[in-house]
Amino acid sequence: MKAKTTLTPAPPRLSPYAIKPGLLGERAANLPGMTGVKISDLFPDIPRPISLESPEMIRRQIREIASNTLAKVDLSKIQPQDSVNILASHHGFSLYGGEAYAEMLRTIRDEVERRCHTSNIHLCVGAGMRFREPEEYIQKYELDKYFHGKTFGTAPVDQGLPVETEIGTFYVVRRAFSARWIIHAHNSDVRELHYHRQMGRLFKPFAMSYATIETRSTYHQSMGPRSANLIPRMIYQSPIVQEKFVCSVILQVAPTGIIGVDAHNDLVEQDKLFTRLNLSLYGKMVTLLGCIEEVILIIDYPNSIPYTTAGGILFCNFLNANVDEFDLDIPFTAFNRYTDMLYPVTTPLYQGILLPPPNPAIKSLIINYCLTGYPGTFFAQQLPTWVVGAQADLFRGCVQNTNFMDYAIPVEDLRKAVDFTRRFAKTDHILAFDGAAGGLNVSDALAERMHKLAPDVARKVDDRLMPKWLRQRGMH
Amino acid sequence: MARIITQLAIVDRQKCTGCKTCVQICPVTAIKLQEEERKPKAVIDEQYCQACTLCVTRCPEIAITINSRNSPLKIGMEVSQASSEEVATICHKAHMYPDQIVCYCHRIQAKEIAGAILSGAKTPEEVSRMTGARTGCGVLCITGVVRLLRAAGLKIERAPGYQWYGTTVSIWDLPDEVVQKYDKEYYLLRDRKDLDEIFPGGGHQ
Repeated sequence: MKAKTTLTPAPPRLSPYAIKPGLLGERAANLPGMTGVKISDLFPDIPRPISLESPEMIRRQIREIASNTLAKVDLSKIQPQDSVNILASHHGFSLYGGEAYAEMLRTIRDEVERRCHTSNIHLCVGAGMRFREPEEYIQKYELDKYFHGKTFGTAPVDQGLPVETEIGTFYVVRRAFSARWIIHAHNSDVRELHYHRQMGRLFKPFAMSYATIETRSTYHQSMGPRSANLIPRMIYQSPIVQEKFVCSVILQVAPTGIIGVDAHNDLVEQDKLFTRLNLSLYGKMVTLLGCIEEVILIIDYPNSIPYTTAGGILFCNFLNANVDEFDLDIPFTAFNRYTDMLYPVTTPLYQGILLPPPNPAIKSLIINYCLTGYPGTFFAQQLPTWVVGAQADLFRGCVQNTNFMDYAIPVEDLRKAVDFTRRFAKTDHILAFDGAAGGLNVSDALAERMHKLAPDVARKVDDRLMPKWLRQRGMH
Repeated sequence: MARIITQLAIVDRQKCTGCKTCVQICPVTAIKLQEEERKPKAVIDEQYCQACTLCVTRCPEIAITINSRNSPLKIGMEVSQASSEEVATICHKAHMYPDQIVCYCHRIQAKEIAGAILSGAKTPEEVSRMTGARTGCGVLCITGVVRLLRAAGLKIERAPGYQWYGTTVSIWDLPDEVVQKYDKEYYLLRDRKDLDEIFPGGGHQ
């Protein structure tokens, strides 16, 4: 049944990487003719999430679930007074307000202290490309107080530690691995599907959030669109990591929201479980978005462009929705770093069949609100792009986007941008990447189209795509 | 592609504790410690600073800010200065097209980096000073720069600080036993074949 009102978008965030919240004008969800589409109405089989009604409720639910799953893992390696680093990633804090991830981290700390009789427990938060973000999150969730001052953020430019692996030496952030023991505390949402392709997704932070620039750069530039996922696996399996690894604790996420926490002593086994789970949880939503024939996108969420979300799916996944990113027989997606390499300006260097173009359904991209601190010129080069209000100045001042505004058009306010793009794009389909929980904010016309498409998409995924995806991963 | 830098990192002498973090990570090695009243303080060389902000965002004392330059700094490599044949040879050996992007932030191409190498750059820091590569996110393009330096026959060992550590593996030089062991799971041979088709490098034996 069609929802009658819009869903609440993610609130703006006070950050050096964002415009001040007071400079943000109208939100996409408030535009006339927008409506909320609930994922539970499209695909009733996707599990219902925990309630996000209040921070207290989130904390209560997550603590109970996390304590229960941690009770099943073996922490006996950790001796009294041993040092432990809980390895966290900035991504987890960007999920549905971040409180669930923060509470998972607090619960891990408390369980380790209670069962292992050590209070020498440190929280390490790894950054992506916005190196001040870990400090922001640690402060926002008062984690420094909770961990008795034993918190620190790391960045990939920090001092490295060589790790010998089966495929040669890689480098991780030395401080992240400075404790006797490590606990891998991550999240399972499908996220950068164009990179991990749901092959070893849970290992990825070992080549990203916990790694230095060589390792990250090798993943993006020197391996391949599927084979790069061998790198985090090799690092995880290296003697130095195995000597320190205690367990993995994963915040379980679905397109509907946060659905649980899972802890495991064996990351290889846990990754197999989540591979199957994520294909099942995300397959239908990703496939549905790929069936939208034409659309105007509005970016309206406090994260960098590729990491903005709609229905739990990233903008980047929509940019690639013209190909099936789960299908491992397809080597390249429309956007990954290999693609970006081959687009010096607006046309590709190589007109081969291996490189699909960005999703042609995207008729225009309106950036109402997002963070900077991610190299995103590729998006403006490939899509007709409007940037609303103060966002344009933010891009102009971003050292990672020095050419972005050469390809984008600044516009005074959101309504003007939408009115204009509607005329030239000749579509009434609008989709907001605004982080609304449990669904998507779209125009009435697109809501109607999605409801019409959903039953066929569900059948196609269940009957044809899931068996293929599983078979490609050695599963049945 | 030439770029004009109009900004500069400035150190607040009162806040600086001389911890050396900025010195260790600066991609153009523009920062040194100097004694001031018997205390080490970071000093930034205007001649090289490209205002990449890596030092700004890692300084534990928040002692570094970005300010306007008194006079702009022009960086970038005119590829015509170097022989296009030699540029193409280096890129080919590194499995790259001369026109392909290596530094995504500043859209710096392989041919510009190869041109800098032919003009005398021998390390990633010297490449960065001449082209501006590695001065955006500071994360993604070190491998591309190292591959081009190696393709030019230069030996890459260690950075002066934490800027980088060394050469890492690529799809073209994975050990055979690893390929056999993990190919089915990670599509190693299929990726190598597809990348060979896209990046027709001559370095792979």
